[in-house]
Amino acid sequence: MNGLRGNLREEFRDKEYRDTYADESLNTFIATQIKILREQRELTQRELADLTGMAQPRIAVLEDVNYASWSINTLRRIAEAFDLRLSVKFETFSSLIPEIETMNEKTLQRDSFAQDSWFHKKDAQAVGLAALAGCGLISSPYGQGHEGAKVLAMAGGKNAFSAAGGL
Amino acid sequence: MPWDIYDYRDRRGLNPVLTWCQALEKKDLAKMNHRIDMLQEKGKDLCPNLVGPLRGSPHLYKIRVNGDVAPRLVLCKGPVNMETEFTLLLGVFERDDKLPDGTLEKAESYRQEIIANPIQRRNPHERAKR
Repeated sequence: MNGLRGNLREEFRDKEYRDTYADESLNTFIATQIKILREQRELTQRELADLTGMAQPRIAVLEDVNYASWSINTLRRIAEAFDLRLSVKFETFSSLIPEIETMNEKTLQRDSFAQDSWFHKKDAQAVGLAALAGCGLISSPYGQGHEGAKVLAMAGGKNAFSAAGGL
Repeated sequence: MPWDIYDYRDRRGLNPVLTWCQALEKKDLAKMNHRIDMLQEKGKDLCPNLVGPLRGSPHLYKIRVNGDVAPRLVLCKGPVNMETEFTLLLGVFERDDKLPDGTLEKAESYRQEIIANPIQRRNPHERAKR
């Protein structure tokens, strides 16, 4: 077990400690992802400020790991400016460790809708993937066994499966 | 790739950074340990303002932790291998957004002691625990 895992496994037995550590991690994660997403889109802080209707100094504050007063409304405005959805979830403490370990520029980047390839695949590929999902062979954006996936699977049939390149 | 973190060791062979961290309130210690973990895992450039520059010195940085008091950990990159290491030099408390008098000079003299004798004057980071 490496240093980080060993340390947190022991330290997180204390509730006050783990709550504080996780809060700090959340602040760091959000501030860092906002900066990475802005840079991915080649925006300046001023340009992001214009897109969100905020002042540039406010963006600088949000891109600071020392900031801790997040509001969902502010995050929603930033998500809209980046053309992304905002996701807020409750998680176990153990899930924090791989989150820290895998955090880097690539894992924090997200494509905006225009670059979100799933929405812009050729029809045959999309139907073919839906067919595979309907058969339970791959995971579907609809969810496995979802009616949408089943309908597309029936419509796509064997040809769609071939168009997707089979397995 | 993770970075190596070291603590300054004084002439008596003691670790003042560890002593200072162990005296922090539990919440401040959790925040400080998180910052040190992130520094070790990611370096100083991924997370914005994870460490801030120290005005008056091109070599020194500080880790800020917000709370009732204002703990600050002064550190430097390297100073032996600038590509793979950080060394924690001393812990202080800021008042009215100012570091205590002499902080910069003390941290720089510690850095020079390490450069002159890296084996004797620093050791791998020791984590403060409760």
